[in-house]
Amino acid sequence: MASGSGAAAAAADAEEKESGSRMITLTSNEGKAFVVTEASARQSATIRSMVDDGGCVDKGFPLPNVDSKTLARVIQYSDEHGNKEPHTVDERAALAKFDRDFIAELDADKAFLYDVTMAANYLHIQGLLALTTQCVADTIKGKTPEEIRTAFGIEYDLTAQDEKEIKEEDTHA
Amino acid sequence: MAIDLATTTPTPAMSSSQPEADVDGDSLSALPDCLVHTIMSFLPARQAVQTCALSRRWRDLWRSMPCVVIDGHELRSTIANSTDFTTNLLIAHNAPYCLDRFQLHLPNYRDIVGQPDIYMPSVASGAGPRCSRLTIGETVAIHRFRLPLLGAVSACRLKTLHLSSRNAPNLEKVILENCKIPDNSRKSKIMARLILHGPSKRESVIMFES
Repeated sequence: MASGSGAAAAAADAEEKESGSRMITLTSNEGKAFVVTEASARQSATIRSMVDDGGCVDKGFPLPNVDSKTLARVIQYSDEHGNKEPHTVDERAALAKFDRDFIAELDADKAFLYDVTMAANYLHIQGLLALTTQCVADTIKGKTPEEIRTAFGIEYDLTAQDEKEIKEEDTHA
Repeated sequence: MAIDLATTTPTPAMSSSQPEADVDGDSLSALPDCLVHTIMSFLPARQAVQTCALSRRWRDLWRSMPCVVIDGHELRSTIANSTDFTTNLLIAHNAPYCLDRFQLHLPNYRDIVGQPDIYMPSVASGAGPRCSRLTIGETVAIHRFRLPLLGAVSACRLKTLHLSSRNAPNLEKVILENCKIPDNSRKSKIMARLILHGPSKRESVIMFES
């Protein structure tokens, strides 16, 4: 999808190409405008409800909680899921492969993975949120607390009292 | 009516009141509780509980997780141990009105034949009152399975009760006792559907009409 600062021009261009499909402008907290199809924007339940309420489609939507890098990645996901409707087995497999590659790339940069998770939550993009949170859960799964701390850089700050309580609770469970 | 995204922030703005990430970049712990809970919902119950041993930030997070999935296969223990685990978890879980999903998957415990009520007291008194979706699966070895105390008061939040049994070819009766269907069911859609999934995965829906 078109993305960049020439929002209005890009919107007009794309509208000519895809008549019948409205274009929507999303603006990151750095003021960068991203022009996406309505189908792509509707992946976000937050934006969907605003569009359906007859909200400010022409003015576009400022997203004060999302930076440009994160928004670009989120749009990559919603373009893939919003603009294409998989009908055949092959198309569905291609979308599943897209998801796998998408999340594998994100998983390599944990801080960015959390940024995308926060944005997916803020924009209510259920599919993306499930993808990112499942990815974190998969990293946790099957690991001991020590291994989890190492994997995520969690600092051990439990007191002796905490440890005692946890041990007691554990014998009950 | 247009909602301004700038003023409606369903989640706290990034890096605001949440615990700061430490120098090693522990931004997982900096996520808001609701997202940590979403992550926990993908974990088996025992491992979700064990996150309490990670750090102070994680100490009590599991107690308010809205989604509890207990898998008897994962516990790999006797029915008595599984019962204790379930009961203790529900007692220690302290979010009285936010348990949205409670799932209990039982392996084929041959030893509970003839003890049909063994699991249910802990579920009914613990999850029943505060749960909106209760799923109990694979109760294959049970001859007579009873859910006590799912009455009007104790199950006031319960919206979906899902009983699944993969190998119950002899299932003859499902009895829902004292399930009050409101007189004005045309206005409210409470108790609107009973869905039967056959082995072929085709579903029959029985609608209740007054």
